[in-house]
Amino acid sequence: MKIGCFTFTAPLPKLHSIAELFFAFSPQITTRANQHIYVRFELTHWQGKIAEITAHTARLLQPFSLRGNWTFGETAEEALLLSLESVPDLESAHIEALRAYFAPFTLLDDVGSESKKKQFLKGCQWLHQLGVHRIRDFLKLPQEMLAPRLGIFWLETAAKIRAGQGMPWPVFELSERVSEAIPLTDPETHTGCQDLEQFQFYLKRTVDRLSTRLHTRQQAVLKLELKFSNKKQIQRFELELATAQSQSLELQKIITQRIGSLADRGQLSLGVYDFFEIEARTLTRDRYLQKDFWNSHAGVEEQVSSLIARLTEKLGKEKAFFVELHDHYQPELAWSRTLHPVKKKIPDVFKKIPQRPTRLLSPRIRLGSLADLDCHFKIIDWAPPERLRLFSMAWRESDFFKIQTHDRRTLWLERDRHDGVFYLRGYFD
Amino acid sequence: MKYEIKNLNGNRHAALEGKLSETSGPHGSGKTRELLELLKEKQLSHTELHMAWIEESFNLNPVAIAQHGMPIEQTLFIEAGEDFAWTALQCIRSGIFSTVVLCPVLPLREIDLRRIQIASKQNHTTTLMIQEFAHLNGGWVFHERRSVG
Repeated sequence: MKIGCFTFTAPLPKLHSIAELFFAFSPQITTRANQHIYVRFELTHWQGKIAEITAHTARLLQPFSLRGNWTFGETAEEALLLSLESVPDLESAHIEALRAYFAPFTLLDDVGSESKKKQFLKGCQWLHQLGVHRIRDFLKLPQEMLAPRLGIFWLETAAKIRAGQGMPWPVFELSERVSEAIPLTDPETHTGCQDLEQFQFYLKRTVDRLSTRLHTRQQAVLKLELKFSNKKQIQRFELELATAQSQSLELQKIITQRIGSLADRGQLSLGVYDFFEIEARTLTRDRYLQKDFWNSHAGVEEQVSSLIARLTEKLGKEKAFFVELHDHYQPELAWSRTLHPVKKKIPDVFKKIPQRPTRLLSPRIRLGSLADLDCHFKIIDWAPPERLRLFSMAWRESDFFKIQTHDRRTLWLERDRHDGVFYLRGYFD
Repeated sequence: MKYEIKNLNGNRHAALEGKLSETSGPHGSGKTRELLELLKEKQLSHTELHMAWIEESFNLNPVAIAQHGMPIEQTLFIEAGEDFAWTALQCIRSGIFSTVVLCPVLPLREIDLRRIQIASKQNHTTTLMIQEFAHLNGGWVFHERRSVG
């Protein structure tokens, strides 16, 4: 188990809503001072995980154009300290860095009591006078002298560092509102959004953000509110969705269609507004989670059916299929195509008969008589024949030979017992 | 048997996850059997092996696959014809299959191979290609290339 502290390059006014994204890693998260987010990672193996976490964070924050860095420690305090000081390990940091232990979830200025803050700063000053500049040196001080000379905080901090224990985390509560807003003006030309085509670019950015937040909350939206505003007026539209949605692409399609129809009817004029906000009003659990609750395979089965439908529409009927095996020795009659997977034991006949070729030729290729075979390939080994009674228009008997050629190929030859002609029937590919 | 392997450590099937690999050789040389051995190894270490087997022109004998001990009920077979590359991408991007086997008759275009490689990487799909002739163009997209026979 480790605690990750993600530090943004600059403080964010809306850190709480961004922090929701970190639910993608764990539900155990909390924030500090509009700039730091702590995540508790319950991982046993860490090899390669930090690179994965960093890459996934970059993907999550990409729609919001935000950046930052991860630091990891045994406690939130240690992770914060490493982030604030940019040092490889805790012990090589300056003693002032212990403010991370003093105020791990708030800023030093926000600790509440001015005397506490003064006590901390005075303690740092006193330690410097003693020649103690690094945490490494601080930990070497005898414990008995810490409480009477520096105060209880320093004694507790030393004990916490040695034991690897942190403070209890404040509760992180999800905000009830899930909304994203964007100005409808070009930052370079200062011109507003004139038509639906131009609006698509603004919509995509907003919906991407909303969708990312919904995904990490494992929620989907049932009702949306679209808000267009300028300094003089606000126009709101409610949009009820037939099914719960969380995918960005689907939401974009639905919203574009709605805004298009509003604009056509003259109820909305995009050119006059300079601000757009989208709010998820009614939320529900993500539909995939709902399915999982009842049946963990339902999602996969539906996906397979949808894929087969897509493939057969383009490729033709029966071009995407599952196989059902039948208790039959004849190669063509031993299996058939089916649209649904058939869970059946492998028929016993397949255990008795010799290994069949992986490729079957239909129609078979005529090779000629035994003497003619040398024109096609040089046979170096023949397996004993297998006699099969086949039905194709009429009953006939054939001998099947598994042969090895000079170029190390294994072929399946058929000799018609009626006229003695050899045919290439398949390959042991 | 010639080998050209870029990176192969530990289990071969594990090394091929999220990668595109190619096995080529003439008909009857044993390339499909070799692939089945690899899949069997993968099946032993996985509880469920969902597989798509895409052929340009279907002449595969499912009975032989079953005789090799493969879970045939978890395999979707597709006869793709001219839309081979499109079908391969649909199957890989669906994210349903842990393994996709591709059997094209003719070599694919370099751009299609690259698309398949990227889709395999993004969906952590093991994509195995078997065919008669090795690709002359676009060989760089393959993680592993084998020539059998």
